[in-house]
Amino acid sequence: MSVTATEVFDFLERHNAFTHERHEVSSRSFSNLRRNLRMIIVKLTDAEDSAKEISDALRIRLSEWLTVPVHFDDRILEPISLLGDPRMIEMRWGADIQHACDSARIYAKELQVEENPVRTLLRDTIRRLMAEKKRFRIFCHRLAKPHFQSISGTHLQDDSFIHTNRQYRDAGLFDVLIKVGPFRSRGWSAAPDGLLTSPRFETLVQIVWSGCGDEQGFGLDPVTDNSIIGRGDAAQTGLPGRSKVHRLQWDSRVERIGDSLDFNPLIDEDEFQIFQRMAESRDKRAAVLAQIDEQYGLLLPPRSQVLSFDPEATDGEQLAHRLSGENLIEGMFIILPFLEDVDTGGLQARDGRFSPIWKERLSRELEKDSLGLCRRLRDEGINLMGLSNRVEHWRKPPTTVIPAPQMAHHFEILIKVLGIDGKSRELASSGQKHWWQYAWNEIRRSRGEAIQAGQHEQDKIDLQTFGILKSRVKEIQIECEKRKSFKIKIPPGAPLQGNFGFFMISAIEEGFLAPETALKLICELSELEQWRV
Amino acid sequence: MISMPCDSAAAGLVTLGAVRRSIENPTDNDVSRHFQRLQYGGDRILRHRREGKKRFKLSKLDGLWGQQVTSTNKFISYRRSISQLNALDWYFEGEPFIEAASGQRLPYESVYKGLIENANKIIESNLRTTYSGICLAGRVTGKTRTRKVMACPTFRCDCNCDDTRLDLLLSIHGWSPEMISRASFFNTRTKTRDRETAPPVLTVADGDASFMQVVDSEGFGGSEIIGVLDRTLDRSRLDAVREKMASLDSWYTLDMDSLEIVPATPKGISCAIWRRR
Repeated sequence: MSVTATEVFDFLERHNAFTHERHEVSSRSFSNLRRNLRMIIVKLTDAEDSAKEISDALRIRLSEWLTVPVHFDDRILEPISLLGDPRMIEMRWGADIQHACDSARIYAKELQVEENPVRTLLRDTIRRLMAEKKRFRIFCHRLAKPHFQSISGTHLQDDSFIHTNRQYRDAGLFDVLIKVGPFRSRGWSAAPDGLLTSPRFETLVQIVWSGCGDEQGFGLDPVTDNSIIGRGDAAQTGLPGRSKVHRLQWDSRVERIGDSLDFNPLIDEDEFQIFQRMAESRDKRAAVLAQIDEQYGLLLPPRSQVLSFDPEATDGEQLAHRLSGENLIEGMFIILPFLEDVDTGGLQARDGRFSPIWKERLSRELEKDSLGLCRRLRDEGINLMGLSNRVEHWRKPPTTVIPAPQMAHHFEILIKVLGIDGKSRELASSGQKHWWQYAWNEIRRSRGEAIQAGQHEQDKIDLQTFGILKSRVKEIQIECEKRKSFKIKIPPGAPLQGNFGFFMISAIEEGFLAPETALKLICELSELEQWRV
Repeated sequence: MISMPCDSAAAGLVTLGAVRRSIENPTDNDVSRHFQRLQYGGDRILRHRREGKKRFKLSKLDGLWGQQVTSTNKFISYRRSISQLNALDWYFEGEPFIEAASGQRLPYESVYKGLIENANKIIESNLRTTYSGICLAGRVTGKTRTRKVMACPTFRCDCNCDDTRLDLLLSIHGWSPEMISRASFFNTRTKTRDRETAPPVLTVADGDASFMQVVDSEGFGGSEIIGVLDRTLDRSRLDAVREKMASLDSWYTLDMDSLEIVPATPKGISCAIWRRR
C-alpha cells in the first residue's frame, strides 16, 4: 500500500471541502450525429442477427466517443460504413435508416473540420496543471489511455493514469483527478464510488458531453445509504440523518462550453440510459470480467464459485473455491481444466493436434488469394463484419487460446472452404465425428469450455480437479512465482485426463451483461467489449 | 456499521478497545465456561500445560469432578485425573491456555492502561486469563492477510518501552507468543473459530464479506456485531451490503439514541447503529 490510513485521514481533515469542476461540452454536429446513430442503434437492435451485430458495433463506438477523447478524423465514418453500400441501405433496412445514415455522414464530415472539443479542453487543462506543477491523475479505462496520450503537447506517462479501483486505492494522494464521461458504477465510463466518497485529491475535473448525466446513486456509502450523486444527500448537507456521516463536502461548479450552448435535451439524450434499458431487456445476466493477460479475459457470473490458487495464502489455504466479485482478486490464479474429450471413440483430440493443420492451410489460402477466400467464406454464410481482419487473426498461432471463429457454425464453414473434409484414414476409422468437430473441440478446450459428454457432471469434475491439485500445491506455488500463466499436466491414472491451466488475474472489472453461453470462456478482450453496458 | 474511507486496521482497533474494556471487568474470563467444558468435554483432545506434547483423551467420567484422561503412545500409557484444583492446568488442543503459567501474563499492561482516557482500572488477574467473549472475524482472504494488516499500527506508551504492534496487543491465539488470549478469532475463509467456547458476546467483522457471513451465521446469533468496511470497494460489494441492511429492516431498527452517545467520528468515517425491534 503506497498510502497509509493515517495519511488519508490527515488529508481529509485538512480539507473543508473538495472541488468538483464539471465541464459540459456541446457540439451541434456531434449532437446531430449522436441523434442519428441512436436512432439506427435502437431500430436495428431487434432485427435479425447481422443487424443486431451492426447495432452492437455502433453502440460500442458511440459509447466510446462519449467517454474517450477520440480523434474526430476519417475513422468516425467507419461505423456508418458498417451498414454497407449506401445505395442498398434503404432496400435492406428501410427509408428511415437510410435517412439517418445520410444525415450521420454529413455531420460526421462536419466534425472532422475541427478538433474534438473534449481533446482541446483536456489539452488546456493538462497544460495548466503542468504549469502550476500540480500532481494530477487521469481515471479512464485502460483501452482509453492511448487516446489521452495522443493529445499533443501533454506527454502523459503511464503513471499519470488510474484504471482500476485497486490502482486508485494504491495511488497515494495528489491534487487533481481528471475524468472524461459521466460517473457510472458499471460499464462504459465506470468509476469507483470511492472517487467521491473517499477522495485522495482536492479537485475533480470532469469533462462530459452534454446530455450525459451522472448515475443517480453514484458515490454510495452503504452504511448511511446516502450517495453523493442524487438521493437525499446527507453527506453534502451535513445533516446527520440516520447516521453519523463522513462529513465530506463537495463544492460543485458546472461550466458549459461549445457551439450549442442553447442545450436541447431532445437532441442530447442520455445514451447510456437508453443502452442500459436495451441491454436489460435481453436475455442476459450480469458478469464480472477477469482479465488474465494483456489480450484475454473471461466473464464470470458474480458471486460464482471459482477454483483458484492464491500464492500469498497460508499453507493449506492456497487452493480454494473463491467467489468472483468478492474474494477472488487480482494476483490470484484462476484454474481451468482443459480436459480431453471422453467422447472420441478411441481417438484422443490432444491439444495442438488439429490447429496446426487448418491454420497452415488457412495461411496458404490467404497468401494465394485472400480476397477470394473471404468472398467464398461470405458466400457460404460467414457474414461477419471486418471479415478479412478476422481471418487474419484466425491464422495466428495459438497463445493463451487458439485464435478461431467464435461460433461452431462459422468454423465448420471455414474448414469446409479450406477443403479439409475429414477423410483422413485415422479419423474415418475412429468414429462418427467429422474432422471439424474434433478441431472445434480443441478450440473449445483452449477457451476453457467444459466439454461434457453426458456423464461428466461439472461438480464431479470440480471435485476430482480439487483432489488432483491438492497433492501438487508445492509444485504449483513454484510455477506461480515464475510465470503468469502455465499448464500442469494431469498425471496418468488420474480420473481426468488433460491439463489444468493457471491464469493470473491482472484485473477484475464489473459492468457486463452477457448471455449464459459467453460465460467462463477465455476470449479476446475486444470480443468481450460487446457485453459491456 | 462503520464505513472507512480506505483500507485500514480499524476492525482491529475496535477489537482492541473491546479487549481493553474486558480487562477491567472481573467476570470477563473463560474459567467457569472451561469447567463446564471439561465436565462435558466429549472427544476433544486435551493437553496439560506442563506436560509438553502429550495428548490426552477422556477415558472415564465418574461424578462431577471424576474426569480421567489417558495419553497413550506405543510404549506407555499415562493416566491423569482432572479436578477442580488442577482444571486450569488443562486446555483443549489448538486453543490457548485458560490461565497463564505461573509468573506469566500479558506483557502490555502499560499500553492497555494508556489506551482509553478515564477508563476503569485494569484487573491484574485478567492479564493472566483467557477470554473468548470478544471475537474478531477476519478478512475473507484469510488469517494471514488479516494479521498482515493488523501488524501495521503501533502503540507507544510513556514508559520508554518499544512500540507495540496491534496484532500483539489483540492477543489472538497464534499471533503472539503469549499462551493466553483475550480475543477469539473467526476465520471467515475457512468458517472456523479458533476455539469451541460459548458464542461471543461481541463480534467485530473486518470487511463486508466477513460482516455478511457473521450476520448470517447461527454461531453469532447472540452477539452484538460491529461491521467495519472500506467503502472504496467495488460497487457490487457496496450494493450487497446495502441490500443486506435493507433485508434486516424487518428485525432491526435504527437506534438513534445509541448514535447520539457515540462521539463525533473523525472526518471520513461514518457509522450507523441498528438494534433488534
